[in-house]
Amino acid sequence: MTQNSSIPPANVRDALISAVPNLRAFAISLSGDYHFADDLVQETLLKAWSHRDKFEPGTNFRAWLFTILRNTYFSDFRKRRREVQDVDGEKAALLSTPPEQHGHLDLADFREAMKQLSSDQREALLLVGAEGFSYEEAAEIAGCAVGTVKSRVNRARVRLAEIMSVTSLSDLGPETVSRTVVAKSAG
Amino acid sequence: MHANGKGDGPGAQLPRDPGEDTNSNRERAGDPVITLDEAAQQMIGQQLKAVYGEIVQQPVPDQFLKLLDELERKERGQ
Repeated sequence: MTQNSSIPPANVRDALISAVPNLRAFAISLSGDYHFADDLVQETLLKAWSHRDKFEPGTNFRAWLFTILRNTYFSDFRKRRREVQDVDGEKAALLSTPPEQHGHLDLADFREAMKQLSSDQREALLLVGAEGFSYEEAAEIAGCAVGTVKSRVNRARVRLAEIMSVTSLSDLGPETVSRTVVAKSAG
Repeated sequence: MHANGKGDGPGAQLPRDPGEDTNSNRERAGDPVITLDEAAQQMIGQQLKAVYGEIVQQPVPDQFLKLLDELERKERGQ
């Protein structure tokens, strides 16, 4: 009985299904695009299924799945980004309309702020801050040094705080500001 | 025709493609390290978990259940 090939398919299936909600949340938050994210999750499940004999029992199955997903994202993402450069406006519209949005206004602001992070910062913040992976696990998943993850998470937090406080200032009303400027330049 | 004018600026070596910088993006020693205070970190953390949790709580879309059922069925058939 070899360990690697002895995982019964039903168990793999159950393990994959129970991981889907978190894989989806990660894919959606990372890419900001529901449709693309579901493609990513689907691809991740297919790859995990067909390479399941490569999973080393005793290691972290969830981390293994996240690694597959992020590798798929960063390779696909680079290809797609070149393809979609002309439809940025369309893409931006998709990004800002999560279905079933029952969040509060400040959460909408937070989602917007997340999009302004670089994708490597967003990845690090999601793995550590949202998924609760350790810095070491996150480094393993992202294929970088532990120190790199730490600095990315830190920079992501600082950047979000900056964006959020700028946003709350602009809540005073950009129109008021621009009218003032117009009035000044006209007078 | 000169090939210079691009690729030799001070930023030319910085990785720009997010997928390509996984091992080369260490902080330079001279970079100032800014960290948030505890309260700001907690606020960011709470909002992140709220946004993320909203998605985690959504039901698993049927397409994934069907996909895995189909994979399992194929395997049994062989």
